[in-house]
Amino acid sequence: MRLGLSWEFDLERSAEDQWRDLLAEARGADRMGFDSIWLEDTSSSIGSPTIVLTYLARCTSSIRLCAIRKRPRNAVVRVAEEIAVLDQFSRGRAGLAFEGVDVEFVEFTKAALAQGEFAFGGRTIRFPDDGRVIPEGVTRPRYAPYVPQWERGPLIPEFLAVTPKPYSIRVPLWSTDSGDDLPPLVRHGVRDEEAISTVQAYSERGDGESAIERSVDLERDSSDLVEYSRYLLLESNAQHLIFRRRLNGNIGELLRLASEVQPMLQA
Amino acid sequence: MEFWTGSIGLSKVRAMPRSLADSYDEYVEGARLAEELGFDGYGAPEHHFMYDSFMPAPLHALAAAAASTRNIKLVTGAMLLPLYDPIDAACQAATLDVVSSGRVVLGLGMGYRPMEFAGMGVEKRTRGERLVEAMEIIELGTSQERFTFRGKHYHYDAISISPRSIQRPIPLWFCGGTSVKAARRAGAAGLSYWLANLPIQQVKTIVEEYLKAGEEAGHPRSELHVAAFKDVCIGSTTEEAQRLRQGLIETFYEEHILGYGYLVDDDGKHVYNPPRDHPIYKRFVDGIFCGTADQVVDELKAYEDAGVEVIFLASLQRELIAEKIIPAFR
Repeated sequence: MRLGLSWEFDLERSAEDQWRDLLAEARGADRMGFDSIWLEDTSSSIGSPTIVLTYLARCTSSIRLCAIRKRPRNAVVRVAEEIAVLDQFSRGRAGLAFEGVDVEFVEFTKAALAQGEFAFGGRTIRFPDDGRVIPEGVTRPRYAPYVPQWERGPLIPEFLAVTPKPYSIRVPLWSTDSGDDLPPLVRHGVRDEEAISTVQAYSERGDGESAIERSVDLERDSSDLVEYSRYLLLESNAQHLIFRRRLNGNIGELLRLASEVQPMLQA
Repeated sequence: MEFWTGSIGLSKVRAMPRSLADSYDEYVEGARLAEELGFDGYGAPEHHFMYDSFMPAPLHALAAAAASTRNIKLVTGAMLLPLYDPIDAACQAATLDVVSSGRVVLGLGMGYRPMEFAGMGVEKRTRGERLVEAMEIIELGTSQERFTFRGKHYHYDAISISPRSIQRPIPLWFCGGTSVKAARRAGAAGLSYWLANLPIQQVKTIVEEYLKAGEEAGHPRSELHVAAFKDVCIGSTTEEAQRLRQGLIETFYEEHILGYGYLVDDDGKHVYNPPRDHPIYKRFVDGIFCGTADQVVDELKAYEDAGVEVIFLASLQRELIAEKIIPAFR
């Protein structure tokens, strides 16, 4: 079982104040043995999740650094590039969760992270896009004698490799869309019953690590939190529980989670 | 004069094989060392789909560098702005500005490699217009709480950039290569101008044209600024410096400069894989200055006299530069 953290940001506070608290909590969480931190790219957060996580990669040592990404307006290649760069800077600690339903974006990003040279033909994504007809889905080149990239001149190749590749052979991926073949990340807004049934349904068809994010009030008694967490984990068969808390820089609250709740879930 | 430095590629350089993660560690260590040595800025470049895993995300590289430094400016050089969604670019730059306590400087270029435009799904012929529009969008987005923009390629109604950057606005530089046309365009728009490796005579011409275009358009001289990329090789003799230059050319520039259309002739046409005696290639090689430390100081003084305020030295001889070159300008 793994325990992660995510945060509710307060739009009334300045970004600098929130960043100070986030840095303190992320470093604290890393030291205290939390398994993951999760940042999303909405206007209610601190900004670009992968920029913040790449900074945090250099001042943490063990914790997994997970970005929750929607499909960008354009330049979809960048999502894979940024995750690969984060994975290299953190020596294999990146994670990526896709937010929202977009099968093409998920398929393209998977190929971009894993494939060498490839082309992608889809309804909304065409790669490389220079007006040529591209077969549907992922295609790879047939064998041909190699011409070094720098000798090709202005010729646009039919296939491109997205670089760099991640440090890990496979970056862990999740999806908030329960119909996907990726393990689910159930977000904080989803009711408990629905969260449990989503993860249960996935565990019948896949063996990835499902994650459930729950908003928690850390003023609550630790034993209450332990019981609630055990209920969720055992009923659903999720392996990764993410506590979403209001960002306040209070390391004492994290320490209580780490020392009073974490061991009871792992026992 | 300010001195900036940085890595050439954050990549698996052919002549120095090693893991990419090690090269990233060295990059971060390089930032820490550059700050300690007294450099004013540390840079990160951008290219995509490269066989050597060249850095595609300069703001991310700088985020890693930010975690190991306190004061040094974090400079993109060059970030290929037409290949971004301008709002995402502004948001990422503002995020880096927040986590680095206001140290971001954006050097912005339009890009030139055809495969990068195809891979990103952007029409190459629109790059100049996109660069100028997107620069205005970032300037508005990091200086005003809410803004509206109507351009040929981008339209936004009453939007705001989150998070709020610390610097208002984030400083922007137009990276215009070696062309007089680009320099005049930057001057006319009142943008700070960053030029590429050139021999000093051409630098003088370009700076004059930039300032003239700026002043003709009504921009006061105090708002017009010039930076320059400058490769220098420092030896105990000129011959030793020339040997260093040959090494730099053979291990890095041969493929990066010759192969991808970086070199542009006087008509603005890209030159691919020209012979080594091609005048445009020879001009590039001559732009890499070779000399003793004293000669390099004289060369850079000439840059300063020409109106260049910032020099970006992408050199691995950083200790030598800190010891023998920078003090002559302080």
